[in-house]
Amino acid sequence: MKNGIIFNIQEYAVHDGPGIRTAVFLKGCPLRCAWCCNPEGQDYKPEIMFSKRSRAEKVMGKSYTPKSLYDKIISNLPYFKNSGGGVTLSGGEPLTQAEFVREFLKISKKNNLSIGLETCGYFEWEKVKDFIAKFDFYYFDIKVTDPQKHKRFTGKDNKIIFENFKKLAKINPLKITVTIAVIPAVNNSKKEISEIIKLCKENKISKIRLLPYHFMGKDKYEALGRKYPMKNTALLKHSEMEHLKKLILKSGINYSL
Amino acid sequence: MKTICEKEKFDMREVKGEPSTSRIKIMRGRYLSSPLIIDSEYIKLYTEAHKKTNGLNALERRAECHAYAMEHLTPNIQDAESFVGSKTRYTRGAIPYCNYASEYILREFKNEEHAAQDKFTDIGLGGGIAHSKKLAKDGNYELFSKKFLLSKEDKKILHESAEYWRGKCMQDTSDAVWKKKFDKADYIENGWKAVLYTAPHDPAPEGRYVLDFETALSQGFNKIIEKMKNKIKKAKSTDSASVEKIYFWRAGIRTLEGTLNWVKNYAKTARELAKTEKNTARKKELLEIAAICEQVPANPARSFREAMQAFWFIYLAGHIEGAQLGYSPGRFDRYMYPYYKKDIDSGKITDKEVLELLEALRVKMTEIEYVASFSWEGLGSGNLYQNMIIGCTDENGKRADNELSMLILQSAINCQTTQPTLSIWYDEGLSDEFLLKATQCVKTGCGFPAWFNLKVYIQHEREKSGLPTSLIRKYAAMGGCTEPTLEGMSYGVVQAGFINHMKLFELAMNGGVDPRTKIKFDKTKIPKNYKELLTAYKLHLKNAIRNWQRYWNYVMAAHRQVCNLIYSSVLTRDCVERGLSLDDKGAVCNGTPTTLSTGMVNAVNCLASVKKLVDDDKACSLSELKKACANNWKGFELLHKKALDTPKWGNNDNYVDNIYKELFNTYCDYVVKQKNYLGEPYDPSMLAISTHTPFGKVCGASPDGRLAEVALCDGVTSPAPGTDTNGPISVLLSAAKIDHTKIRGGLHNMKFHPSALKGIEGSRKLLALIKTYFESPGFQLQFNIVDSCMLKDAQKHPENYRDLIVRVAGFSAFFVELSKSIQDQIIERTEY
Repeated sequence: MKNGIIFNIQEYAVHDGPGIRTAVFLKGCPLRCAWCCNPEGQDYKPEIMFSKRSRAEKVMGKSYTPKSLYDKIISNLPYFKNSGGGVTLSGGEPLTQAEFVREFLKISKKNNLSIGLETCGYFEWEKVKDFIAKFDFYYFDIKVTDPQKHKRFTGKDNKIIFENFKKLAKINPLKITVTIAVIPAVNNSKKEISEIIKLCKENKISKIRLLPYHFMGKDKYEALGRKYPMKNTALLKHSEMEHLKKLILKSGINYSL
Repeated sequence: MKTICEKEKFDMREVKGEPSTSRIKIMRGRYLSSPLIIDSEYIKLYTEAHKKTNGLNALERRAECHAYAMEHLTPNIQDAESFVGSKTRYTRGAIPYCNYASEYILREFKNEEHAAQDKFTDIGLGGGIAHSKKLAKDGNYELFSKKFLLSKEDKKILHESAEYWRGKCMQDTSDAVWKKKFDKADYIENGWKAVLYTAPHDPAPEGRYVLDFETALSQGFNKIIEKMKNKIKKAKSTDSASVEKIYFWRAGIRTLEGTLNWVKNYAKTARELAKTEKNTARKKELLEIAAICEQVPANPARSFREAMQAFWFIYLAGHIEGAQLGYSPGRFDRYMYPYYKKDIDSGKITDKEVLELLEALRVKMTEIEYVASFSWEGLGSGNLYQNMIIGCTDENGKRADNELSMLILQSAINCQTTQPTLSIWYDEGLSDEFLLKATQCVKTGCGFPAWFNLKVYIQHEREKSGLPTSLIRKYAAMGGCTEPTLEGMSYGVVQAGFINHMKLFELAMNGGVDPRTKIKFDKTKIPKNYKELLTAYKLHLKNAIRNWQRYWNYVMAAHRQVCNLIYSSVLTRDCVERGLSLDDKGAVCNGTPTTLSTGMVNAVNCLASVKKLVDDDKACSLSELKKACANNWKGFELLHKKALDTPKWGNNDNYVDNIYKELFNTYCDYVVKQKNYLGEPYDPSMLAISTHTPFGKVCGASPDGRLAEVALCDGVTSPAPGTDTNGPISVLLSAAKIDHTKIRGGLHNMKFHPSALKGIEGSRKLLALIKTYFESPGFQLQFNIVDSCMLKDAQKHPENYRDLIVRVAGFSAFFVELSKSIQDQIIERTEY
């Protein structure tokens, strides 16, 4: 039985699904996006974060069995039930820990717990095809359509991502919300967003959401002994985001939060 | 490097309101630009009458002094007001109640420290307080209690009054007895020095009750006077007890007549102002005001407008009689509804007009100020804790929210003032519309409404008073910040003295000796392990409670002698019926006096830490841990880290939650052992208001990892800032483990970032949170919706945030008028 390495469990999560929701952040991700706000979730192995401000060390990455995670979360069940909430798996890339996720999903579904998935799309379909359709909803990240650009900013090509996207969309497009992290100088152009919108339309996606770039995770890089790749990047203007939002609405796709 | 908090992003609060009319803008603007002022007129008149009534029985003397003062007060009719009545001659005036306590005034004049606790108290610096300071610097005013203006003339009067009341005031009268007679007098005095208890009552804050507005509005004072006259006629004065009743009724009549004369003066003044008023619209208004004042509250109210004016006079008169703090309007949407419904149905009034009246009420209630000794200023943050509670059910359990409830919420959204604080009596049957509206109000970020679980209170009150559920449902109200009471029929709770749990813990650790002052309390064995520590703690807890309760019973005997609330008695069931004042147990409910404490969460975290480090992990000895705390963790960095990592309350961890349960039950058991001054068992409660800051300042570093002098926790069940690492649900799961029906009150603070509650989904989530927590069953929740960046900016630029309201443990306050330490505390509280 494979244990899961989890670096954060966040109750009353805000951007991770409907109702009162607990987001579980699994450690490990195949991508290395320059703007990542959870750098402690990139490496699969537990690592130490040292906060200069509080002068305290923290180990990021705790081991759970599927059952122990379930037991920890299930006390929240009354809150989930009253609000249409539940759990969302996020990270890192949750599907890199396929065995753990499979088991956890099994236990949760047996007990009628709602489970959502946030994924960057870079995973091995064969390893997850037996359970990937069982989630209640998906947030699927699409960043950049151009493969070269994608590799430059995330470390990986986007071919696998788009293949997975198409496969997943074929199963149940209505359960998917495409998340576009809008990053200055990467994809914040009308052209880029339009490409993604086109891709969504082709795959019958009905919901898109935009997450504007922020650097609230900046300090974590330093705490991990790393350099923040997006140094000196300015935030997007409200008007710019509105403009992109309009593009989505014009296309006939719902703008989701 | 630009920060995330760009100026235009600062105000992320989703719901913003604006006063609905220019009248309200004027009223609110006037309030915000007014300084705080001492008005000595009332006490001057009261004292005059007192000098002339030597030999009169206590009840009638009290009535005569108060009535005489009332009928000679200068009416204060302010521009643009549509209903009138002010406690003082100024917008933000305060009455110094020398008849309650005068020593603190005399000490202030001598520039002496009020109490040992002054140096641990700080107060706000901005807003009206800054205004006062500026005027004091510029003109003919002095600064009193660091925030009130005092004119030379008022100072002279005040000084004379304070001198007169020396030895006669309630405090001195009680001191003369308990200081000599009470065998634990030393313990109490030491308790004040060590800050085991909050500072002595200067003046004792009256309050935490609600008058019988329903009867007063519908019958009018003349009828009540008539009733008392009939009682006197029928009374057979065959023994001293029945003579006392006659005194009481006579006192009641005098008080009501004096109050009606006060109202008549307002009518007169309104007419005089009308004569010289050039603006025809305002002239008409003044004449209408005069007519209404000539009608109510002498006679029953016949319309909503009359009911508003009547309510205000009835309410304010009670506020003037005592040094009120936590005196509240209660179930306004219940007893005012018939007047509203009649007028709306007949087209006599519109919702727009009702809304304006409700907004005006908010401003007028906020204008009321309170002056006390400096340390009490710090404890209460100058707040008046006027709590209006809406929603609830009727006696049959059917939802009681109505159109007026909705308008009350709207008025709070529109006209953001600190008073009245709003509360919701939560029941699952409340309408969706009402609940969503209440959530909208929460989202303005002003900190209210607070949410209270009706079912839990019903159970508590049934057990305490034996009254039926139907009655409790009908009259359930909030007295003060978070302590429920039955309106119109309950004794209040004078004085809100608190016990410091962290200081108790320190005593337990140190064999009964306070490490800071070296004062010796009861001797206990120096503990070597968790069990011994817990035993010592419980002993100190028991004694601190018992001594305080007994001391307070002495004080209340003096209250009965000197400050019996005649007016409030007459408007509380069944005082008139029985011929007994409140202090003579005339009310229906007399089990409301509570014993309060602060910082139980801190003590619990400390006990858990000791258990883990010393007993379980054997990471150190208890004496080593004590040494580390004594050194504020310097030189013990590794142990400090371990201490910070021990289980903390608020994470749904039974290791520490079970300790809380045990301590909580023990506390409740100890409290009810002692009878209050009315002969009923004291009721346990817990609160903080602002006590957690001075209480924390006098405590050294603690085994939970807390550094020396850091503020304690601010609620009953809210976790220590930064220690709730599992999230808000886990906090509530912890909080639900105690039996909330055991205490009269409860407080749980939660802070949310606006993004967590965004949109209708965010509102529904919040309601689901409240619903589920109350099902678990919890008792109370209150929310602060701000982001820390905004608050930090408000600290730097208070001038830009003059009207920013936030919630502090039991009340809402203008952020800029809070002391920096409270501000820091709010900023530090975990955000979700």
